[in-house]
Amino acid sequence: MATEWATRLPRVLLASDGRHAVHVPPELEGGVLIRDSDLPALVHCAASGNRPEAVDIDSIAGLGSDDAAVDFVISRLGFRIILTRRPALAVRAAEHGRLGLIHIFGYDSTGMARSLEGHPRVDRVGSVLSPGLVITHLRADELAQLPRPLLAYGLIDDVADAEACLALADAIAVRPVLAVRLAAAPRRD
Amino acid sequence: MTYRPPDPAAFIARVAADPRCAAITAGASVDAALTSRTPVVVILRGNGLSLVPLVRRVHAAGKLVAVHIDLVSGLRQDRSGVAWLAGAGVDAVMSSHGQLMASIRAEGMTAIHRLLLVRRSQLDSAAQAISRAAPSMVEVLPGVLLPSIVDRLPPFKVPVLAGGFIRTEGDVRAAMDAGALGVTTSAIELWGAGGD
Repeated sequence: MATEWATRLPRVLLASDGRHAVHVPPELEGGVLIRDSDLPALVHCAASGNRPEAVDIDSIAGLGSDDAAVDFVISRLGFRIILTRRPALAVRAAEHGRLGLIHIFGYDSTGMARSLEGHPRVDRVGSVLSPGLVITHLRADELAQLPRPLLAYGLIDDVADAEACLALADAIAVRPVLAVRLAAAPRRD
Repeated sequence: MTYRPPDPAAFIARVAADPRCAAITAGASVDAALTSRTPVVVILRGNGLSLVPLVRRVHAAGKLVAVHIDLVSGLRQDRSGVAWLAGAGVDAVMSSHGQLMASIRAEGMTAIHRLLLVRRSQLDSAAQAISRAAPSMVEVLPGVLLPSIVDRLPPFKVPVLAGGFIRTEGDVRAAMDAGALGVTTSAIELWGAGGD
């Protein structure tokens, strides 16, 4: 059964390959996203005290892109947010009571519309907009088409961009160094 | 008589002279593109196996044709797919697959490599892949972000197009100020009224 904790998307995900410790600044409502890594590093990272919440499952070398892989990272490794290009895997995560986020590629309006065609639009399956910075250039109707919760991920490299993206998305993914700067920035709310 | 596409230098000169390329889905917006100032019609969707009538219409209007081989249906992204487009009279082929660039050049067409901006960590490897593929042009997507990321991109040795979410005059100016030779856009109002 899904709990609020199991499907909650932190406002700021710190992207990491899992090979080095990443500390979420206490000022942020944050979590850690593992991406561009490999299976041994993922397992090691999950077993550490600094347990990450999210994994971009398609970017983990050695890990399959199937139900067994989703079952493993959720049930054995304890991840609760699964990013994937494959809608079926995001749905699988939702069936576990966790959160699945499907990559929506925002390279152009035609491609984004095509990317959205495969979204199942069911509970606990949201979206990852790549590159995230493009969210600041979407029309309101395009933004409304993106299933929530919505993570903006990619090319968010300074505090101003991060804040602009956070105003439109439910969450952003950034490098740890930017998260530190974001935490130190004056609060505008 | 067999059609011969312009060489890449001539293709690039056409874009330089009139830098707004019309991105269309086959069947939609065609008439607007043909009566506009656009020098190049970029076909993003449609049946790649039945493009000849459209290509002839575009040529008859005095414009060039670029086809995105990754997005049209019916064609595989390989040497034979490229050869099919050459036989259809296409002037330029766009793709995100670097290995196709040599085949496109060998068929006498202009090879346009799409650079998909995803994450900062992938920019360097993507730029290196483009360098190895040696296209005639690079199209950066989403082009609306080019001004934001241009200082993080390595310099390309070929002209750059900006495509994707280019919807206003301001977007066009910003992309060209950032170094783009031209833009590809589906915004009809940006194609410009036809001359004559």
